[in-house]
Amino acid sequence: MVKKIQLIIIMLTFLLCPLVYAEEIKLYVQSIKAPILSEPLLGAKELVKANKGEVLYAIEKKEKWYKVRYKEISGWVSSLMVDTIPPSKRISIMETSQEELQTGARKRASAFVTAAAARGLMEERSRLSDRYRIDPEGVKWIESITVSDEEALRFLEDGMRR
Amino acid sequence: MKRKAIFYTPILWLIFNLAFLFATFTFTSSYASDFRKRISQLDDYPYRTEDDIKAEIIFGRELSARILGRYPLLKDKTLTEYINLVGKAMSQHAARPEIEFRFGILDTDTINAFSAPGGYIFITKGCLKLIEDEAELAGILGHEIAHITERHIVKEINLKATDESPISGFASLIAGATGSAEVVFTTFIDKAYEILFERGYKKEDELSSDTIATTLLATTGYDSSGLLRFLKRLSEKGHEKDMEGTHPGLENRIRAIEEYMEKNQLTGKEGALLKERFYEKAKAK
Repeated sequence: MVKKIQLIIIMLTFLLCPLVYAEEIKLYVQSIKAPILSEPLLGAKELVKANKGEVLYAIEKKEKWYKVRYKEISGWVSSLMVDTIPPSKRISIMETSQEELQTGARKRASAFVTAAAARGLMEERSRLSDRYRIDPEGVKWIESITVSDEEALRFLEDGMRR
Repeated sequence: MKRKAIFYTPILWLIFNLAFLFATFTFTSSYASDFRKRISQLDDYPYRTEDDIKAEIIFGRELSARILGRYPLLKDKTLTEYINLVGKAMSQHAARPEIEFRFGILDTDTINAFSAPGGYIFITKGCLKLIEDEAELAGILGHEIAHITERHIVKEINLKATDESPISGFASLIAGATGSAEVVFTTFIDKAYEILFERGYKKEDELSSDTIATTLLATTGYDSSGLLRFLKRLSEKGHEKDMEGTHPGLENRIRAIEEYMEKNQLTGKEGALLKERFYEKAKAK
């Protein structure tokens, strides 16, 4: 009888412990591709690449690395490429927009309004001293350069094939 | 006496086994809980709402206008497109997909590169003259990308701001409805400008950006020593003084990257240099 109870308890221990571990932590790939490596070293063998938005299940943490499970493969991913929340969509600002920033219940004045008012201050100072000179048109020129993410990746791949 | 011993033995066994079960379960629970806690601290910056990111971009845009007030913009469309192709490929391998990274060239012989929050990055013409291949260019842009992905300026400014207003996020600080919001905004721009051109980043932020840049180089397939080789050339040619004193000593940075590469078994590992493409696109200018 005693041996039976002992056996049941030992079996329970082995059954329950994995349940605690089984509550795995999800990590979402943020970079376009995240290599999963055989060891927590950049020079280690690459086992597979996970794509942006895919879920990795964290098993262990070691410095800036996570040991993860991905599609039946277990390996290491750099913490620089993952986050605990899914990757956000691209956020852009349109200066002509009257969109207002809203956080929680309190509606705030638009950051554009604040920035525009601050621009007035900065323009005034700009006339007084070279230290405060500004060139908003230059910023617009940079923003007019259109290079898409896809073009950039194709350019990189083309370079790697050379 | 014999009956008593028989009675106690199973009880003791039961107590022992239950204690074993409890201890094992507690240990594993606490380990898992600690692991979850550590993972939840993956990014310790709390202000990551869409509002905060929009505010960061607006802030970076205004700071960029100040950067271009100090150094004129080189309006060379072909060269700027090339820098954007290299920079955007690097930035997509980093961890801030919500940010549109933009790259510009400053028309000055000063050797430096700068970044403003929200994705604005600048490299000087002087810096381009000293670069010898695309891997070096990618390494320098990677270093600036890292300042943005790690929110070095945002965090430094916000830390000071939260002393006064612990409930405020970056969005609320620059988009506050109070009449002094534009003054606060301008003060923050001044502080960021000081970091870029006078005080410099914190030493640990610079070293961290170097290792992230080296990681990005290795991940994209470029020669992972791209940034290291450029810094060594800067040091050998005595250009440290040209960097406006905003970076920690080159020797420290070089040593730290070498150690990082050694630790990660990257030393001597081959990667793409793309020297010809760099000369074709940038040096011909």
